[in-house]
Parts: sequence; structure tokens; C-alpha cells
Amino acid sequence: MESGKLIVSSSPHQFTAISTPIIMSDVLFALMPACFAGVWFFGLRALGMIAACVGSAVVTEALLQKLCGKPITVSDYSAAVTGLLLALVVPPDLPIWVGVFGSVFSISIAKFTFGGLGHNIFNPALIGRAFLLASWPVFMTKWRWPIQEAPWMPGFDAVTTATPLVLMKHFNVKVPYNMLFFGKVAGTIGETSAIAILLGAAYLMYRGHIGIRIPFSFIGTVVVITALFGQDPLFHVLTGGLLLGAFFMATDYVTSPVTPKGKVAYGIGCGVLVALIRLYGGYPEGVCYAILIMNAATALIERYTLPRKFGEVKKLA
Amino acid sequence: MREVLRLGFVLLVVCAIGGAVLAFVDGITSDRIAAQAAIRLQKALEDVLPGAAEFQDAEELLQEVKAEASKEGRPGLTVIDKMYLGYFQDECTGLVFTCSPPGYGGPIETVVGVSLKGEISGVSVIRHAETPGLGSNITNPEFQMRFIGISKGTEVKVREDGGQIDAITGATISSRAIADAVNGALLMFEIVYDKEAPGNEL
Amino acid sequence: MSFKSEFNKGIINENPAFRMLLGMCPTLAISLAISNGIGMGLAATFVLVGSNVIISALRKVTPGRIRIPIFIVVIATFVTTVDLIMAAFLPDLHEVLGIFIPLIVVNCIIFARAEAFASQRGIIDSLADGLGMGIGWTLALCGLSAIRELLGTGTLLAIPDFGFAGIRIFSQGLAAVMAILPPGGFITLGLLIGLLNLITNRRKTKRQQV
Repeated sequence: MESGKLIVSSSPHQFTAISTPIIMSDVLFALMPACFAGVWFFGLRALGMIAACVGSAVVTEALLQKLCGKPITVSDYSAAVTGLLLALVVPPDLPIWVGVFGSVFSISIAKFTFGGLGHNIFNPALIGRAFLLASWPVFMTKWRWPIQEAPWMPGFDAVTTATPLVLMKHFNVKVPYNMLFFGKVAGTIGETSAIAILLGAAYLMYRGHIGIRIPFSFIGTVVVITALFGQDPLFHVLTGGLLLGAFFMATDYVTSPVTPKGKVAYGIGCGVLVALIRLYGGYPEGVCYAILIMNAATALIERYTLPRKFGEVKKLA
Repeated sequence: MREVLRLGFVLLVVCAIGGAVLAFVDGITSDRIAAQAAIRLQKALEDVLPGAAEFQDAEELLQEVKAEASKEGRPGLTVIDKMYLGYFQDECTGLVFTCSPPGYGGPIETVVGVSLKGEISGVSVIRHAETPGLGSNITNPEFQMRFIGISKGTEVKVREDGGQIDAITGATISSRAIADAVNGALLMFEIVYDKEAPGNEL
Repeated sequence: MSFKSEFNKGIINENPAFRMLLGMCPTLAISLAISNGIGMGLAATFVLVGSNVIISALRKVTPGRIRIPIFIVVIATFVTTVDLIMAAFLPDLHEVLGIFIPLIVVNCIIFARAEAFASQRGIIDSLADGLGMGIGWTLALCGLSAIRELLGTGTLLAIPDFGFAGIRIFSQGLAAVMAILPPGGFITLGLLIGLLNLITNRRKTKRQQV
């Protein structure tokens, strides 16, 4: 206290060298295998979509911050992560301009109007996806198989329009595990290959950026419920956006609870919703909506799972 | 006490004037409104059963068939709300059913006409709450035409369910609802037709 | 206050939809097409002017303790009149506006003007207020509807019940359907209110600088 003044500030009081740019660039790096798988299976078009979404997200953020006279913070990579995640949860044949609209919507409406990074209630990339699905449902439900022939599904000429979950839900046709694991199936750009997502997730865990509570309680709940209802749990884990959502989206720092118990409750909530939507909902897939709904419940979960302060006395009624 | 009576009296006067105004307006509009409703119904029925000029509500017959069907545990008839017999110069030319199959945004009020040959002669949607721009395309004549000519004994399904009808892109549930209505109408027609022996005047 | 200024305030400065946030339920629910906006807005304007004038005329003889039930009776009478006349003479429009006409009874714009204005002011002022508020609301509805109709369907001025498909600006396949779904209503309304506030605030600061 050289100046003799006592500086009073709110927590946190200790800082580490880990900052937003480092975490976000690690996330970008961890998503690389999924991007690579998407481009490998769906071609250069997927690369174009990724570039367009990332680019428009960064440009939108910079433009809005400049317009409103705020410091420009695109170098923290958070806008790039939002754009990339959005690109990974849209179908490969989506027109590029639609992806750009989604990216702009994610950053401007879902992130910026709430006050920017750290203030948004909902995961911006998922809001972008929900917006695109509500706005251009025809484009957003048009899927493509990486290979044209699909010998395990005799008699379906509509093969190009069905994801494994749709085939399961409406036709009771099960795509083999190995195809799901490596990603030779119809789906969004990033969800196609389970192993690529798991590689990235392992890296994030090794770097200590994501914990095990949210993804494991999320996936575990889906496994338990689908097994209870007599469905194949492994199939449900490997299909759709479950792995991508559980490791990369549900774990978003801003929109998920910070308390340990809260994280488990949040993961279970996500899992229950995904299982309910997949088993009983009108949509074949529910990861996006499940996470968005639990985002809304985050503040409530934190309120009920805050640890007791040391020495706290129970309030008299 | 006096105050309460006074307030009550003022309110009574206001209500009486309001009531009188409404009675007067109702008097000059009620006939027109009833006529509009009748014209609307007549037009909707004529649209789906071309050639018929007069329609007769066959409520009793419908209830009878429905009661028998539920006793035998036959499903598929619940979507049917009303049944009309269509006549041209005192000769029955077909049946018209109003149905309300469950769509994406609630029941879709549909009118289905079946000619005496047992073929769908027309489908139209009266009221619905489907997603604008997607499910709302069920009102499109081009979509409704896809059902015309389907004859009894066929089960109508959208292509997504392995059937013969091309659903509206992005609106499988709404398309499926119309198929349900058509199926209900064909099933009902068959039962009524068999019941009132062929050649028998309906 | 003159007739003109009482009329003018409802258009922008005290616009019921954008400034007072009154009547949000019908504003969001029917602003799907410009034709809806005009029909609903004009019907509400008619009720608003009528109820404002009657309530203002009765203000001297209306006992304060039962003013609310009296307002309700007057407003309900006007609404039912509009409903019946529309059903008889404009059945197509009536079909479109359907449930929203009876709901004008509980539209808070009408009630708010009766309570806050007409019950305390003269007949001419109340007439101007009702007309201004009604037209202000109609304009707000049309503005909101125009944006939502264009973005959501790619057309403008479509009146499906009269068989008019509207002016097509771009193809249906390109339209963002969400604009005519409920979330699109909230987002468009929010952005419009923000834009209007931005413009007025800019003007204010400019005036202060001068």
C-alpha cells in the first residue's frame, strides 16, 4: 500500500495467466479435428461455410463495437468461436448467405444486445442455429450423405434427406456404429464424426478448460433414459449433436452454472430434455433446444446451489 | 344505503342503454350474418363435390356409424365432425365430410368430398393455425389436387411415411394431417356405402 | 392544448405501441401482414374514438366509484357493434381478424385512454386524443407488419382472403419465416423501439447543443 489507500474491489482477487484469448484459441484448436472431418466428408463447400461464418461473426462484432464506441475485442477470439460453432451445427449444403445471416444474428442479437461477451444469457451459436431453423426450415433440414450409396437402407429413395436419428425415429433403421464413430453419415458439418469431437474434447480437458461434470452428467443422463426406454444408448450417444453439444456448447462458461453441484444439475437437465425430445418430440434431434432451455435455467440453478459461506448462520424465519 | 342505490341506478341506466344499442345492431345484422355463414358453408361444400347443388346434414347416420365403429374398436373415424349428403336434382352424387385432424398448430378444419364412385372429388382447408409459409401451404390448390381421384380401399400416406403423396417441403406434419382427413373420409364413405346397400338411395 | 396537438401526440411522442407499450398482445399477434394491421388498427380507432367521446360526455355524471364498470360497458358496446357490423358486411375481413375484434375490449390502449384522458377532459379533446392514438397505433401496426410481412414471406400488401397475393419483392424460399412467428414479432418490435429511441435521443442532444 504505497499510496496508503486501501483498494476495495469485488472478487476475484487472484488472477492466473489464463485469459480469454488463450482459452478461446485453445477451443478453436480443439475444434480443428471436427472441422477437418466435416471438410473431409462434405467437401470444400463445408470449408467455405466455416470461413464465411467465422468471418462474418468477427466482422459483425467489430462493426457493432465500433458503431457503439466500445473497445474492439475481436482479438479475444470469442466471436470467431461463435462463428465456428455455428458453422459446425448447420447442414453442409446450406446456402452460404443463410449461414452468414445466422452468424450475424448470433453476434448482434444473441450476444451484443445483451451486453457482449460475459453478459449473454443464451449460447450465441445455438441461438443462431435456432434462428436459422425457424427462418429457413427447408434449407436447415436438407441433409446429405457423404457417399451416395446407402446399402443398409433398402427401398428409400429419400436417403439424401435423412439423418441417422430420422432414420431411427421414423423408419426404425439403424446405421452401423463404425460409420457413426468415424463420421460417414449425414448430419451437420461438425457433428458427423464422433472421434474427431472426442479428440478435441480430450485436448480441452487436458488443458483444464472444461471439467467433466457437465459433459458426463449430460451424456450419462441420455444413456440412462434411452436405455430405460428400451433404446440403444450407444446409438443415441454417437448420433446427432450430442457429443458436440455436451463438450463444446453446454460447457460454455458464460451460459452454464459455476457451482459444482449446479454443473451436475445443469448437465442432467440437458440430458433429460434431449432424451425427451428425441423420444417423444416432433423433432428428431433436441440438443440445441435442450441446451438453450437449460441456459435459461442457469441463474436459478446457481441460486439454489451456492455453497454456504463459512460461519454463515441460518436465517430466522 | 342511498349511495349504493344511486350507484346501482346509474350503472343500470348505462347498461340498459348499451343493451338497447346492441339489440338494435343485432336486429339489423343477424339475418345477414346467418346468411353469410350459410353461403360460406354451401360454397365450401360445393368446392369439394363439384356438380352437387344441395346438401343435407346427415348427423343421425354419422352418429350411428360412429357408435358402431367405436363398439367394434375401429379407429380412424374420430377426425370426422360432420357429414353431408350432396344432391343434384334429387339424386345423391356423393358425400362431403368436415374433419379436424391434428396439425402442427392445432386442429386443421378440412372439408373432403367423396363422389359416389368412392373417389376423392375435392379437398379444401377452411381454417388452420399452421406455420405461415410452410404448413400454411396446405391451403394451396396445387397441394390439395394431389389427393383428388384416390379411391376407397387405398390408404393415403405421405412419401416420408412410405406412401404415395408428396408432402409439402418442410411441413410433413401438416401434410400428414390432411392425409389423415382424407383417410377418415374414405373409410367413412366405405362404411356408409356398404351400410346403405349399393343402388339404395342415400 | 389544441385539437391538433392532442391529435399529434399519439402519432410519435406518445405512440401507444412504441412509446407507451400499450396493447402489446394484439400488436405482436396480428402484425403479420399490412392488411391485418390496417383492419385491426381502424377497428380499434373506431372503438377508441367512440368510447372516448361517450366517456368524456358522461364524465360529469359518472360516479368515481363505479367508473370502471361504466367504462367497460361503454367499450364493450362499441366493440360488439363493430364485431357484428363487420361480420355482416365485411365477412372476409372479419374472418381474418377473428378473435382480435372481441379482444379490443381488453386492449389496454382503449382502457388507458378512457381512464387517463377521456374521463377528465372535454369531448373535443377526447375525440382528438382517440383519433390520434388510434391512428398512431394503426401506423405502428402497419410499420411493424410491413417489416415482418416482407422478411417473413417476401411479399407486401398481401390480402389472401380477397385472393390478392401481394407484391412479391423476393422469392418465398428466401424469406426468413421466423419474422412472422412469435419470436420474430418480439425481436422486430424491440429493434423498432430501440431505433425510435435512438433517433429521438439524437435529436434531443442536437437541440440541447444548439
